[in-house]
Amino acid sequence: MSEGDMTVIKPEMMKSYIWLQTTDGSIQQVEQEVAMYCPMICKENIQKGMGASKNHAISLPERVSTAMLSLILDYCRFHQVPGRSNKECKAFDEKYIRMDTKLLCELTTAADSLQFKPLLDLTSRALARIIEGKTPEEIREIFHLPDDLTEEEKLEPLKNSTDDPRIRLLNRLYARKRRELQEREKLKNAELEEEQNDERSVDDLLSFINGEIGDSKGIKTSKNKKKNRRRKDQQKSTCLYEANEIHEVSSNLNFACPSDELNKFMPSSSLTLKLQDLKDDRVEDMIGFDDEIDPALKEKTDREVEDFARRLNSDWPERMQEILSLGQERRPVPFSINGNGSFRRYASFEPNDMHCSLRPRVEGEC
Amino acid sequence: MESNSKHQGVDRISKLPDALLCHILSFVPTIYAVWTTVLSKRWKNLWISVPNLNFDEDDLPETYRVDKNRIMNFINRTLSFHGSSDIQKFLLCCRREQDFSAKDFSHIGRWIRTAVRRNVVELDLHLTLDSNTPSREFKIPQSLLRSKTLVVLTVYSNCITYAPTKGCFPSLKVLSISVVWPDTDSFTSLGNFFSSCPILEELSIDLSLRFRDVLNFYISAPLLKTLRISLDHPSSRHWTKYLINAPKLENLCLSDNVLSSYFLKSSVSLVRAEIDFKDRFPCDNASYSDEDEFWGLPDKRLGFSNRATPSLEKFSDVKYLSLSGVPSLLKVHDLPAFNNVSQLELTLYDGDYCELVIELLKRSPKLEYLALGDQYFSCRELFSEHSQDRWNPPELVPDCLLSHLKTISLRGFQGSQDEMEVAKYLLKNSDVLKKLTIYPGMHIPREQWYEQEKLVYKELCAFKWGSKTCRVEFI
Repeated sequence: MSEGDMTVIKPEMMKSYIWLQTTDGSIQQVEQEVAMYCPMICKENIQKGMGASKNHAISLPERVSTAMLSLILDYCRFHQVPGRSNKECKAFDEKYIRMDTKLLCELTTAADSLQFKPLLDLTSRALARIIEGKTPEEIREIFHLPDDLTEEEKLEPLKNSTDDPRIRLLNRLYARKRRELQEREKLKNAELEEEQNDERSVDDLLSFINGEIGDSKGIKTSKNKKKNRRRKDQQKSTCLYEANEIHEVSSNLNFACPSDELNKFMPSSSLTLKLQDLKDDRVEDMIGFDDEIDPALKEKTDREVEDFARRLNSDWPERMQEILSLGQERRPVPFSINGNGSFRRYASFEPNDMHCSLRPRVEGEC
Repeated sequence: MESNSKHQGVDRISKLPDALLCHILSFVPTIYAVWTTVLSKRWKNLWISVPNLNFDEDDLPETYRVDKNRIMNFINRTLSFHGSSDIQKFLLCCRREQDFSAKDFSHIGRWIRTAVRRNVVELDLHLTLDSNTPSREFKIPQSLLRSKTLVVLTVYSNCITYAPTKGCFPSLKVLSISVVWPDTDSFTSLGNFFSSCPILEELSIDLSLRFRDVLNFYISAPLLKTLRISLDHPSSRHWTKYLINAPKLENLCLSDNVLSSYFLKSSVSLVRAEIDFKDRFPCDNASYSDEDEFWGLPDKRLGFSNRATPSLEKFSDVKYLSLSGVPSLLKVHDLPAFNNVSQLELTLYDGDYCELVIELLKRSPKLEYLALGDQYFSCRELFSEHSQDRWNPPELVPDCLLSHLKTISLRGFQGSQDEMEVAKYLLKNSDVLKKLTIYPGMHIPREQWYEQEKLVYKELCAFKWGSKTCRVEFI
């Protein structure tokens, strides 16, 4: 034991090394405990006996360059020491991750190809932190992303590629029909409370008609374009919200065959609440994006509904037509598609306590 | 970012495979993940494949946070656009104490049901309401209770009622419930909740109770391995009783300021126990509705102390023991013998700890690893000058030092007189010690520490060490 300058004693130990080879050809030896911290290297060494000598160096995956390997080994060297407290590890990680985004991306791929989960998560989180909280323009600048979406594409960014819109629409129409039937049943039971609820929602809808469209509280924008889009957007988002809503209603009821489901209904209170919700959502701004959805998408969906309705009409009995008409009529939002109110030809209304007061509104708007 | 690099920069990130980009986006709060849809063609539909949905109010930009309806609409739309693919993790955090109302519960219920329908594996729900809101009970949707895919559930709330039914949580392995100042009604249903999860492996309970809350827990979980209980109760008059029936329990973490009664039913093979004696009595800022309560405080303290020491009996067979808190509460001479303890960690906040350390060393013949202090508090508390306690070495060297103790960590080291005494004693008397690691306190600047290291080392080398293979390391 010596005194004086040395602050740390490291007893002489025979260290063993592991040989690693990167794709760019260079071979290096690394202390065993450091290299073994990486699971893939550990597996290669233990299961296949590789890495024991220069001739049998472990070949690292393609994306691990020499520079990346050096960074990865830095990480391993620190973390493999046992007994590190959480705070120490965190402090090291924070410092470690401070690098150019270019390097960060490379390191992420390298960690991914090595299936080195702790490092992969660390780098992914770092990249996530860069993305978080920034506007798309800022992100494009940081990562040098090409601005290759057309204006139109930007404005209709949300085509749901996984869901078949026709199925959604069908669900929606069926669910509406179910709901209507349920309401009728309730009215037959003459529960006062529900009627009041219904009335309330109807009143709300009426007041909605009378001038609460385009409520843009909380949004400050100087562009008129955006305002117009938002208005149309409300319609669009309403439809989509309904679609979602109804999709859920039908799924909740284990949608298989509509006629079977007529016996299973959702509890009344939640149903009337849903009506309320629909109204609320139409009034409020539903925008969640800097760039908003274009009426183009709305048109598209409406056209789909048309086609779908036409197809149904030809295949199905009159009952379906009834459903469709109720479906169209239920949408109390002003249309402006094609200016010709294409849906009106389906608007043969079924007299219904629920919808009586709605009728004048729909007709009046278009 | 220099603007000229914009044209010259290479777009590396887009070269990453889809799965990797989704992995990155899974760490981003959902609102920003959704915004990436307008970045470029490559990113247009990526967010839809991200299996995690993270709706935390605090992550939303300012324009959203001010408007509750905007937030709710955003969540509605995102859920609908996200399609029907499976959700891995769903996080929902609503802290709108001011303007949240019971009416909004229907939305939340619907979102949870949507997540359940999409086979959510991990659900994290944070829901707190203003305590003045009437009818503020949120009932957990039945479909969640019966979810076959849910493995991890974390709930933090003051308004959720739990109505367990038979056959609920068939796949749940990890459950974490935090209740903060709950409503009494919602609260009582919690007591039986913890017996409803058949394959539960890890349970964490965190309660902050109000003055008169009383709750008795019955925890019955045949496969439970880890149990963490953290209890903060302002009144020690009623304390909580826990009846724990967990035959496979291995790890137990208790943090309790009233030291409730824990009854561990059936023989338990505990391996690891972490006990935190939080002696937090509301002397400072609570108001007392009950004079008895106030004047009875010293007795309560005594009561706590009386219970603290015997409570350690339950843990006398563990292999790993961690004690933190206030050692003055423990009656050091009544401590049980810890015949199996091989790792001991002490994080003590009170200056008078020396005697406790010695007694514990005496009673732990198989101790192999000892850690004292943590990065914030050294082995000696910062104001140790006022303490009467001094390192008083025992006449007989504790057994463990002679035969088993191999690793020692001294954290939060400041180089004070007493710390040096402890270090010297250990070095001198440990026959099989391999490594003594000294971690500086977090508040010491690096340069100052380097200087101090040298001095400390010099002093430590000034005598003969008990173990010839020992190494002293400074971090």
